[in-house]
Amino acid sequence: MKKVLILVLALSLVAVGAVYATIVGSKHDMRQVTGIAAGTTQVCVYCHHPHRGVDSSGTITTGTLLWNMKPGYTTFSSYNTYASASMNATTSKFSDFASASGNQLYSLYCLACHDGNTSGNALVRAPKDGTAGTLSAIGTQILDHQADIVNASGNDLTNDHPVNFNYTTDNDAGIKAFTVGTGGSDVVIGNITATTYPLYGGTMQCATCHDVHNGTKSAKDNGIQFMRGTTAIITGSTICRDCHTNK
Amino acid sequence: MKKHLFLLAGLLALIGCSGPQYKPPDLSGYVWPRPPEKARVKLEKVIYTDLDVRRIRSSDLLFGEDVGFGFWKPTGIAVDNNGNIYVSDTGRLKVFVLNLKNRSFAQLNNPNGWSLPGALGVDDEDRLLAAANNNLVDIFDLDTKQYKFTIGAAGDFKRPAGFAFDPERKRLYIADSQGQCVKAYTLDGKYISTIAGPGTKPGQVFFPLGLSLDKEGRLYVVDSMNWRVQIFNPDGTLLKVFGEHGDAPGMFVRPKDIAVNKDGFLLVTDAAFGNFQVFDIKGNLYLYIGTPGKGFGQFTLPEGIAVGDDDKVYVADSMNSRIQIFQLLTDSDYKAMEAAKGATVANAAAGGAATAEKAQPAGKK
Repeated sequence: MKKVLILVLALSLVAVGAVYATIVGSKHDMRQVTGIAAGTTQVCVYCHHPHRGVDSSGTITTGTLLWNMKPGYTTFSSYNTYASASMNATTSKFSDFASASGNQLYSLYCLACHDGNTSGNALVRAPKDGTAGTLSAIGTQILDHQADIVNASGNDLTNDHPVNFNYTTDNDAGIKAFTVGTGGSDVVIGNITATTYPLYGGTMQCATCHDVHNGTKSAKDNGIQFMRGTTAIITGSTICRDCHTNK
Repeated sequence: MKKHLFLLAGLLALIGCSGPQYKPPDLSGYVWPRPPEKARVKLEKVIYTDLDVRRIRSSDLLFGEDVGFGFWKPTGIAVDNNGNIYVSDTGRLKVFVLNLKNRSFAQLNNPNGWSLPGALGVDDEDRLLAAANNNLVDIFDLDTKQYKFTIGAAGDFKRPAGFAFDPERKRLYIADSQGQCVKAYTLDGKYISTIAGPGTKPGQVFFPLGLSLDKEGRLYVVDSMNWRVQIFNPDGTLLKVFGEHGDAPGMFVRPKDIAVNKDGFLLVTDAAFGNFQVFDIKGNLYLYIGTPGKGFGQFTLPEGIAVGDDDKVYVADSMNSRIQIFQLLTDSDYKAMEAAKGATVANAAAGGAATAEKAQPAGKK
């Protein structure tokens, strides 16, 4: 009995360790940026922006626009903002980027910083079958399809794994079927490691394989930062085979 | 040879291959603010590929010219006073030079190769172009488009992400986003001083991105992870800080680049808002243009912004793989636009075909 208890205790400790994998101390903890340590104490604020400017009654309390004025005026007749499709900054959120197919391009949240300037370069571009078309033709292609990734040093990694495709309808045979996870979102439970890979509106996004809050599996831990599951998923391309069951 | 081409062109016409043509979209309704307010900005042109810029001849198709060459992820943008538009593409890993007047669309050749192009800056007076190339800064001759020299050795920069030339003081300001600083260099690439170092206090920067200079020589810095714009005097002292973190108009979430027009308006792109906001030097917000999306006048992660002396605004709409060109409107522009609209309506009412566009052959993809 005692032995069993110890075992349970040990197991739960392992579980706790996994649950509390955290952004603090990871590369997404901006306090880690060289030269900035003394300057900032905050962690969450670099991704989660505060919803400001609207009070409890919905009145916009800030951000008054001064259009039709010349710069530098101190007296003006002001216009309050209004909620219309063209004046939408008050409701800015990345889910506004809904594509024609209804996909929510959550990956844009990552790509807003991983743009080659703030951080390493990553790329969503037109699909392979969408040759660079004319103005009228290409507008509907972007964002609905697949991504190629180019790394920060510019080495061409085209044919790298795409994002923002529909997991079920855009895929070939031999993939693990998704299930409905807690909270009602679709998830794929890994075929080998039983890792939970979330889908977003039925689509695969960066966050399907990367957990941005989980920075514990750094290189020194013999793993890759921000990957879902344990370091074991890197070995033998397990992370690929977790979904591609025919490989 | 001429006859030969003529024959080929005739042949092409016969088999219905009339070259890639399409009707440009009607952008007339894309104005900000929305009616009935007086329009201050209008969308003028959207560029996805060379087809939107240059004249394509049948011979180009026959002789294997690269036709239909488009942007993947345009990031940096700059414009010179000859109307040349410089665009870096971090997807294509190329820098393009476009000219709408000459209808040209060319690549900027770099003998070092482009490992990761990014920010661009133009100095019309000293005829220089600065281009970020991974962690170095390559300088080109604005007239010959030839590479001149490189600023920095390995380790001097982590990622140059913004340039502003000061032709009067013969300086080039460089924002190093991952290096967390803004530095001043001479025009031949010698380090002068550091304008701002890492931190969150006023005068310090955290992931500085776009830079711009006004005609008084004041330096504007997009201090992206401090969610603000900082303005420095030519002597390097801090003049003004404005902006805060939040999703209301006039605030910032992912500010990327800044351009200052000749009247002192500041145009700041924000990738999270999918727009660019218009401020004055005091930080008063005048207007914002765009929403997230891929329609005309919308943006998906806008990055670089530039403005010409003619008040044309160029925005690298990175994830929509296109450049959008806006025109800032004066009162007389607005009146002329309204008058033209009235004339069109009158014509249409009278059944006149004077303003109707000729139908064009269906585009060939």
